Amino acid sequence: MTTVLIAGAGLAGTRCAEALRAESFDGRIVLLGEEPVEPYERPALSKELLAGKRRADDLALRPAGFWAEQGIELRLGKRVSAFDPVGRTATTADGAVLSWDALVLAIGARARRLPGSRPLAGVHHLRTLADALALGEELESGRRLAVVGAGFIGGEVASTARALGVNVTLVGGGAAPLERVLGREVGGLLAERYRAHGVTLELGTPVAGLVPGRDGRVRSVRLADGRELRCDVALVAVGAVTGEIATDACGRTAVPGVYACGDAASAWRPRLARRLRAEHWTSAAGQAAAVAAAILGRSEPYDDVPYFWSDQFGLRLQHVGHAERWARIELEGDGKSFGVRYLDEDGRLLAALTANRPREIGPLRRELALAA
Amino acid sequence: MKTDPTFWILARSSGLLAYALLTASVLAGLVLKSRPFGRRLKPASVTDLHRFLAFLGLGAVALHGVALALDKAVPMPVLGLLVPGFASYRPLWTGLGVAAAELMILVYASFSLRRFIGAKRWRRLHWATYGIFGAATVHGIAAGSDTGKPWVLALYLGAIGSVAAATAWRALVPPTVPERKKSDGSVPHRDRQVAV
Amino acid sequence: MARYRIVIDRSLCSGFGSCVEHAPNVVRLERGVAVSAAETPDPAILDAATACPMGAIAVFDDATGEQLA
Repeated sequence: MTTVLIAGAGLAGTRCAEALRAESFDGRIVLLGEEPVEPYERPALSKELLAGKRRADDLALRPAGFWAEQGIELRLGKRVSAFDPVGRTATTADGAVLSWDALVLAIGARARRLPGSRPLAGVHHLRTLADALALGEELESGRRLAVVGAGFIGGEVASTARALGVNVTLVGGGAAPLERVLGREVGGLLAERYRAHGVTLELGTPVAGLVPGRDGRVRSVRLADGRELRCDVALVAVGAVTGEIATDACGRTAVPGVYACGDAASAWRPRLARRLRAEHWTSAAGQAAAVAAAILGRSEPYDDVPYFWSDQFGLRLQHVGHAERWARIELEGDGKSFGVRYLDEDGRLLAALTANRPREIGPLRRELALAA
Repeated sequence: MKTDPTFWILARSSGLLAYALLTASVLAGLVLKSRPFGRRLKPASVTDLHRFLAFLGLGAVALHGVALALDKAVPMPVLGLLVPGFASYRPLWTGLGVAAAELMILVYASFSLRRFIGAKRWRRLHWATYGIFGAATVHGIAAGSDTGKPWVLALYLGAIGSVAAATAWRALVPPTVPERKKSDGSVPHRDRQVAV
Repeated sequence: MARYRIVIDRSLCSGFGSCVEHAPNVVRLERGVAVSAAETPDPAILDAATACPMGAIAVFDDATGEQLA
């Protein structure tokens, strides 16, 4: 019997398993999840879960009996530590050896640590449900939270924490929040919004380290210029680290029988004519479907216009397309509702961002899709 | 004694109008399937247009029939309008027109009755539209009084040509995805509609 | 979670399949009729709804409730 072994039970891994069954694959599907919890919605960790609006058991991707019903062998708390592409086996951390005919690496990413840092009480990262629950315990009205990293996770946690009455200081190395992805002007708009919601922004100075107090908990964040920002709890949200597994547009790696999808995969995107590693929900789901088709011998490349969203400080940010550099932007609107077009030298649309303008994303997405 | 030609002229003009509207509706339907749409044109709008043209066409056909019944120059008993072949004037070609009109009413009504006949049967019935178009074309050319006129001939040729071209286009455009081919794990679970 | 709420009017669906072409990860044809999950974050559903010749798919923004397609 054909066995598909899927390493990783996040969105990509689970979607791959489901797609195989939906395409009437009746071989064996073994789905290994490193975390000891039922597969869940990761995006909710920095938002509804942290805010207390949803409970942990409310985040499950599928109802508890779903996997058994579909004949998917879900095993939690199992991490693949090595695999043999020739012998077609994989070894889990507890020493078990599994054989496979197709291996899907949907192993996701880890939260990046600050260089040279060591575990310190009161310092959190946010990647897993356990991380979110631990951080949530420490967020109480009146406490001081230092968020290191002005990216999307940092912004969303800052937003959630402010709503809980926590005093938030957001520390970022760039001149504005989300500057790398959204640019300086948009970052500036967001900075104003953050400040309007009571967030203290410390921008432009790199972080030197986290300083422990005498009680062994974090006491402050030390900046490169020597200043210290006092805090009761800190969140380090400086990006994710992955293996960056290169694949084609269908999720196939260079090794026959081995596929990759999700946050860990750097997949070829025909529309962009390059490989792109995206930490987006729609990418993970789309790539997982492509991998399932590829395993069943069909070429169904995933090439949708990249898309992601972020909910923070009353703004629903929606972003379509991909642009690491642009010649100029067209910004229209104000801090409460705006639309941005990122253009190249010839005025061609590379990417677009909307804030609280759900009606505009469909046409923008279509415009980008037709332009390619 | 000179017979009033009003109804005769009305019959001929409404007949040609009905034919033009039928052709336009068929073309709209074929375009809908081939989907050469850009950014702004919505398929649902074309569907509305397709149905509206068919409706107008039916109206013109009704006018065509009524005018023929009321016209005194060519005797046309009511039965001749309802039963193919019953007319005394060019019975075969007129009969084709009657058949085409009745089939057209059936196909138009079938849309509202989809719930009862099922979507699959409805789509199969819709193929009869080609039969309607063919019968109407032959009826117009063979039973019509104006076929000799160059512009009328051009109308027939233009209609046949454009429908043929649109059909070829539709046949050559890649088919839509067959059932379940591109499905994904977004299975609507029985107990709970979970987010995709 | 940013989500689009999907409502498919099965009585209007005639099985054309344009929706599946635009959003294969959200909609599929089951016995000739389009089915989907109740919600999705994937904006491809907006295209799928616009592409339906019968206008059988309605899409709503989960935050504001307004109809987007």
